[in-house]
Amino acid sequence: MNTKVIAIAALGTAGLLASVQALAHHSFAAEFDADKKLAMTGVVTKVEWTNPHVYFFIEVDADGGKFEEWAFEMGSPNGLMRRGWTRDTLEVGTEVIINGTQARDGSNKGNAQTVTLAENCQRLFAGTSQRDFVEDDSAKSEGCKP
Amino acid sequence: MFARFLMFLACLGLSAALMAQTGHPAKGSWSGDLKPASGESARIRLLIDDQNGDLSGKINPGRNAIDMSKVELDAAKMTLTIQATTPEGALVLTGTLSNLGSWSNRKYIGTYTQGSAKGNFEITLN
Repeated sequence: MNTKVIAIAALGTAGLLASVQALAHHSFAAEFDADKKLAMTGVVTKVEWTNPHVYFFIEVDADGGKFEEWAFEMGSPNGLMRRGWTRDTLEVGTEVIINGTQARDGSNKGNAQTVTLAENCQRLFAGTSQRDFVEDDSAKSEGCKP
Repeated sequence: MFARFLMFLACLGLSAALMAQTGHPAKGSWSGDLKPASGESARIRLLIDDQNGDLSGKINPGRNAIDMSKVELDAAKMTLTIQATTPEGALVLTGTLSNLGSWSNRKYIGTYTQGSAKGNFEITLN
């Protein structure tokens, strides 16, 4: 009996830990504002290839030497892999041009719609969950000259 | 029997969290500033890898990355020394790792020389 109680308690703890991932899954509209468009260039500092969303972080030179860190959410690892991404598509140090939308709370967080490699202007669709998203050419206006 | 099965499932669940722990305290992507005694600060990024205790890395990873010629940790004092040859001269960073238990605020703070310049640096794990 005692063993059964301990087992159920342990299973409950494991369930609680697993729920952290489940909570991270959300609708686009719940967290991001489609009207807050973002276009920025930065250097990748970290990539978290995790479910339910892949995140990457960039450093942006915001004001002549004052750097800001921005976090960008993409689709799920599976969804990105179906679009040709791998874990190594974005490496730390890669300069990227991001088009996306900002978080509703105004923090340095966004939903990436396109990621363009500054080195060769290769555009990578980021698997956004925004329903009415249409790709545009604004990344090229950020200085990428193919 | 059923209780043992439940415990097995619980262990599987807990192992996912445990596997998220990483190894070497210096491993990872770092960003910060070199603050010379005179003049403006310069941004610096480090990417340090660990292969079974052998550390290696790059200064400012990306198109203009520079390989570190030496990355050495004195585990007793948590002193990390990094050397590299940069266009501005030999770069030597000597500092201490702190806040080792933190995911978001691990620091590498110390002094550096680069060619004839010298100063302090503060670098944070990304």
